[in-house]
Amino acid sequence: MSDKDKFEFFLPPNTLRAKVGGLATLDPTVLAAAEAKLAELQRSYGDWIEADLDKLTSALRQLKDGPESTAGPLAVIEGTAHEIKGQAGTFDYPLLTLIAESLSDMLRGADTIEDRQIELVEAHIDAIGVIIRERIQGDGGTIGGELLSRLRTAARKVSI
Amino acid sequence: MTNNPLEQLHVLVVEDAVHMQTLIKAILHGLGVGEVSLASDGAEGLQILRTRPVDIVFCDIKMDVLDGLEMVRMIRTAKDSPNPHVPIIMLTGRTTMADVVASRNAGATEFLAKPVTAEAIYSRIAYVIEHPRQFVKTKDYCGPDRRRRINEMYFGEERRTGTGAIVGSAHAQGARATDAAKIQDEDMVPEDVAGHP
Repeated sequence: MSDKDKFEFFLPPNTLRAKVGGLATLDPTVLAAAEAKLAELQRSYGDWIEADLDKLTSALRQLKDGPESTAGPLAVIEGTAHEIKGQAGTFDYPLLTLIAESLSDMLRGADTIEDRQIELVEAHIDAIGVIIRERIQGDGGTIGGELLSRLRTAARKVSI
Repeated sequence: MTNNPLEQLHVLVVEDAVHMQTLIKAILHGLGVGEVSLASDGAEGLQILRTRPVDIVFCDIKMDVLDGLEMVRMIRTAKDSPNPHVPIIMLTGRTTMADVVASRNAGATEFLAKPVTAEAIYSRIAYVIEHPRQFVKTKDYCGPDRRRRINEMYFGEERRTGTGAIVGSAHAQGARATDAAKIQDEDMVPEDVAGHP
């Protein structure tokens, strides 16, 4: 048997089972306490994410004001959108995840951008701003549907 | 017998989003985990692993500096890895087939799809403790035996009904549904161990 065909199966020792014992069921009061903590943090998220909105609007302003260097502001917008995308759903802001994902995917790897594409970026950031300021959680109902519809219309006019 | 079985555990959370760090740490403490360490990228995570023993790792896939997949590979294969067998649960905001296969091939133990819930986090912890996986070591891979079918992997949200939460975009949901249907019929034996018992 050549070296590339050699393999070994093994079962590592289960030190965790020895440490914690059986975990058949979770005490319902413990789960309730953890879920209560999650709900508390979900209520705070709207305040936390306002700082992210400030980053987005500030970077957008740089994009619109100065053509000299777009790579920096684009990276800030893409990075902030990536962060929002990864966490907003857990805090019960799934609309933010959708819109931030769209924005992040659109700008990934981009270091230049055309003026008409800046309009689409602005449409995304405006939508994010509405959701954060109005604390639109869940699917957002009629307002959420309207925001997504406007973004799709703006996207159809522009191709990146 | 303690009423808090998780208090002896030290869990490492490797996640670049600050608010997610805060949330997962709060949930873990709420579930009774005794010690929670945080890292913002794979390099920082590896440093913590070298500093003191870690029982379980939760790890995001995409991060700057050293991403989750590379960190997992280094944990499994580096000569100086302090615990190459540590259970590693990948946090993923997008459970596409490409992400699942890449994580599996890096040596991840299980997956947890975002958005996360307290119950899902507890279920993952309980699963890796109650169902330790056989490891396989070859010239190119060290980690949990990859011959387990993907549809037996514990995804959490996608295997439950009536959660009521919007998980990802409609496109992503469609992609996940399609991928799940496809892999039901596939044997996920990787080429390097195909044919071996």
